[in-house]
Amino acid sequence: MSETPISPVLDKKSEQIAHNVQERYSTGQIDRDFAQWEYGFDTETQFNLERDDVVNTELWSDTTPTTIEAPAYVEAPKTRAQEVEESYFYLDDKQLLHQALGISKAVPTMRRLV
Amino acid sequence: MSDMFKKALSLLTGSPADTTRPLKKLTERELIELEAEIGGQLFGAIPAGHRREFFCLDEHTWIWHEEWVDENRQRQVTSTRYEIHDTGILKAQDGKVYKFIEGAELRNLVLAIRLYYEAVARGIYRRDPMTGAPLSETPPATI
Repeated sequence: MSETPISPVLDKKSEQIAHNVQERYSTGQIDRDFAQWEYGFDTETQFNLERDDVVNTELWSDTTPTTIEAPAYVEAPKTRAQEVEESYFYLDDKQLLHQALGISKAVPTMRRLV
Repeated sequence: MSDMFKKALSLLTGSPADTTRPLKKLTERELIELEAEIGGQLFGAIPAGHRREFFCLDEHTWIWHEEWVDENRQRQVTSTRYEIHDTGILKAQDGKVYKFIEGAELRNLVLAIRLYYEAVARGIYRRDPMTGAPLSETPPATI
């Protein structure tokens, strides 16, 4: 099985690129180029990695969260049915029966008091 | 004021006792009919053509009655009777099935009973449902 042939032209071009990269890497130029291209500023003067605070706060002036306000939460008024339903939520069957017994006596009593 | 004038006035406006206690002349059955009308509205809007009543018949019995005309123009009636016992609430639908209700069904019924009581206490008997005291005829003064 033969290996995939390499174009002599392409091979020569690859060697040139590799040489250029090696030269830029050894002189530190590639790091400076990358930093300039990626961030547009010198990271060493903008950030002190030994500290937590931001040295140059101008970087964050556009994204400061102080202009964001939490929306006011307005609770809808509850109906009486909702209030009673919530108050019954934790009652067991015995307690509910007790309620029914009391009210069932109260209604006929009101009729007699008219 | 002459007796005749008083009599004529009472015929026109009702006696003083009637104006302060207008429900006194109603029978218990008529009071129940008034209550049933309020009770029927506790479960939300009543569909057109439906008649719904929910009321306390006596100290031990609650009735949920519903009538409507179906798509075949046949009159349909459902009547549910709830009997309040010391040991539980017994449910009978159309006089057939008896069972003690529990859980969510019991909670829903007691919720309806409570709202019914509060509504008729205020709306018909003019009483505070929490204390039983008569409600003031005049609204509280506003500043």
